[in-house]
Amino acid sequence: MIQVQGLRKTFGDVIAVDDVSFAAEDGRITGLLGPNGAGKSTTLRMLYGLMAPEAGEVAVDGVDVQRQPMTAQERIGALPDTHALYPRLTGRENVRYFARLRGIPADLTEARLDEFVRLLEMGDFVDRRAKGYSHGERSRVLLARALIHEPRNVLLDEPTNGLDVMSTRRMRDLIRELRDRGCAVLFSSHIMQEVSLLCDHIVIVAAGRVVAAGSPDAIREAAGCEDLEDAFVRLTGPGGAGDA
Amino acid sequence: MRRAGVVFQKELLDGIRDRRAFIAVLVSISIFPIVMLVMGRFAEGIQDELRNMELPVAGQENAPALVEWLGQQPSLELVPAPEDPESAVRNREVDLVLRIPADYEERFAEGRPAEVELVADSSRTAAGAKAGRVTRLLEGYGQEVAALRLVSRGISPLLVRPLAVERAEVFSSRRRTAFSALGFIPFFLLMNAFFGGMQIASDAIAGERERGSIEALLLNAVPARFLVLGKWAAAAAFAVFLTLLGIGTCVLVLRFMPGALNISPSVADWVLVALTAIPLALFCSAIQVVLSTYAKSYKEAQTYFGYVAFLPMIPFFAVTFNWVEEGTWTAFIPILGQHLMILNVMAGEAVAAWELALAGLVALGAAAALLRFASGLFVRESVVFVR
Repeated sequence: MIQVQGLRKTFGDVIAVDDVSFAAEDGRITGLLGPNGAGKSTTLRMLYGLMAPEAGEVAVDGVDVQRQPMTAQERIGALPDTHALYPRLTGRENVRYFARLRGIPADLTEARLDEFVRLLEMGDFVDRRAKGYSHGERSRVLLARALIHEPRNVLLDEPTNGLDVMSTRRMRDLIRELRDRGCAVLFSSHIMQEVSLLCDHIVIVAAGRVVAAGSPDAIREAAGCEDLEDAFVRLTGPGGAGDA
Repeated sequence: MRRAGVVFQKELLDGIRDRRAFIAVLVSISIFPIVMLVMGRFAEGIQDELRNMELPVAGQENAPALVEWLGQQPSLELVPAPEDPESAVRNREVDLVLRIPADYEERFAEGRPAEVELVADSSRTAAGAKAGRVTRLLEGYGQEVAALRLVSRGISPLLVRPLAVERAEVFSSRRRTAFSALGFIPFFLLMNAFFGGMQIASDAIAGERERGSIEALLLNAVPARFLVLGKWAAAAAFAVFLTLLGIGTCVLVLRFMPGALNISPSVADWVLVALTAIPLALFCSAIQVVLSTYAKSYKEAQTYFGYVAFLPMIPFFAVTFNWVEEGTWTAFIPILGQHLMILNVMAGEAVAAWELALAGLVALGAAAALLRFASGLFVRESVVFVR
C-alpha cells in the first residue's frame, strides 16, 4: 500500500510535480497515466526515496519514505525509467547482484531466478552477457531483478516502453499475477490502451497535477466521453484541466 | 559491511571483464622494463663507443710527438681526417675531428701555447663524451710537457701545484645510484599506485551513472556509504595489485637486466617498499572515487584524472632537482613522503618504523575522509540525476 499526500517538486522555475495525492492499494493495479513530461518519473523517484519532495509525504505500508528510506525501500520493488543492466554481467549475475545486496539467501535466489526464467521465457539469453540484449530481453531481466526479493509494493516506470507484442503480453500477465497475490502495483505509462487494459484504478497527471482519478468507468464519466482515449485527450490536452 | 563486500565482488568481476582495465595492467608492467632497456642500451652504447674510439686527426704531420703520444693511448685509434672536418661533423659522418694547425710546432718550440682544435657537435651525447675524453687526454699531455719543461730548468713541478685537492665523499655510491638512476623506481611504483584503480573507479561510478544503472542500484535499501566503500575497495584492490606487480617487475629488471644498475635490494627492502606503497594506493583510489562521483560521465572522470596526473610527478622532480630538504615533515605529505621513503630503502638506508606507520596512517586517514565526502555526494539528487 502506497499513500501519496500533497507531493510537490520544482527544478528551478519549472514545477515538475504540484500537489499530487493518490493511493496505490494492495491487490490493485494502479496506473499513473500522463503525457511525456507530466511528472510521472519525478513522482516515482520521490516514492522510492531518490528525490526529496519539497512538500508532501509518501508512506509505503505506513513507513514514511523521507524519515526511513531504507525501511521503505525494503518493501519496494522498482523498475526505474533508465532500464539499464550491467553490460559485462550475464542476466543471472545482474539479478544475483541485487539479491545479494538485499541479503536474500543464495538458494532462495536461485529458486526464484529459475522460476522467473521459466515464467518470462529467459532461458535463451539469461546466461549471456547483457551487452548484446535486445530491448525485450533486457526488460525481462530488469523485471526479474526488481521482483527477486518478492516485494509487496511494485513500482514500474514505463515497463512496456518499446516492447514487442509478445513481451508486452508476458509483462501484463506477470503484473496481473502480482495483483492476484495481493501486491500493490503502481505503473506509469503514457499509453492509454496499456492502462485501460490492465488497471483497476487510474490516476491521470498532466503538467505535474492530478487531473482525474478513479476506475476507468469513473474517468469516462467524469470527462463526459464514451471512449477512454477521448477522455484522456480532453483531460490532459490544451483546454483541459491540466492547463487550469 | 557485508553489503560493501557484495559491491566489492561485483565491481571486481566487472573490472576484470573490462578490456580497458586489462590494458592498464599491460601498460603498467611494461613501461619500467622498456625504459630501463632503452636507457641501459643507450648508456652501454656510449661506453662501447668510448672503448673502441676512432679519432680523426687533421694535420698529423704538424705535431709528430703529440700524434705519437696519442697513438700510444689504449683503446684509441688515430685515423686520417676527412677533407672538410666541419661539414663532416655537421653531417654526422664522424663524431669529432682533432685539427693541428701548421704553426703548432713553431709555437710549441717558442714556449707559447700551441693551439689545437677539436671540431665537435655538443648536441650529441656520444660525441660529447668522446670530446670530453680527448680533451682530458690533451690536458694530460700538456701537463706532462709542462712538468718536463720545469724539470729541464731545475724547478720542481710540485712548485706550480700549491694545492692538492682530495675529496672525501660522504654520499655513498649506492645512495648516489639510488637518487639518480633509480629515481624513477619510486616514480614508476607511485604511478602504478596512482593509476591502478583509475579504470574501475571511473567505470563503476561515473560510468554507472552515465549508463543509468545507478538509479536501480540506489533502490536496494543499501546506505550509500557501503556502495561507495565497496566500489572504492575494488578500485583499491586493483591499484594494490598493480603496485605489487610493479614491484615484481622492478625486482626482475634489477636482477636480470645486464649491467643495468649496480644495486640489489634485499627481500626485506622490497617488503618495506610494498608497505610504503600500499597505503598510498588506497589513498589515490579514494581521490579517484571522489573525482568519479563528481564527474557526470566516464569521459569527464578521465579528464579529471588527467588534471591530477601530475601529482606523482611533483615529488619526482622535487627530489631530482633538490627542491625539498628531507625531514620529519615529509612523512606527513602523501606521495612525497612515500617517494622519499622508497628512495631511502633503495639506497640501503634504514627507514624508521614510526615514519612508515605515520605515512601510512596519514594516507589512510585522508582516504577515509575522502570516502566520507564521496558518500554524501553519491546520493545527492543533483549528482544522481545529472543527465
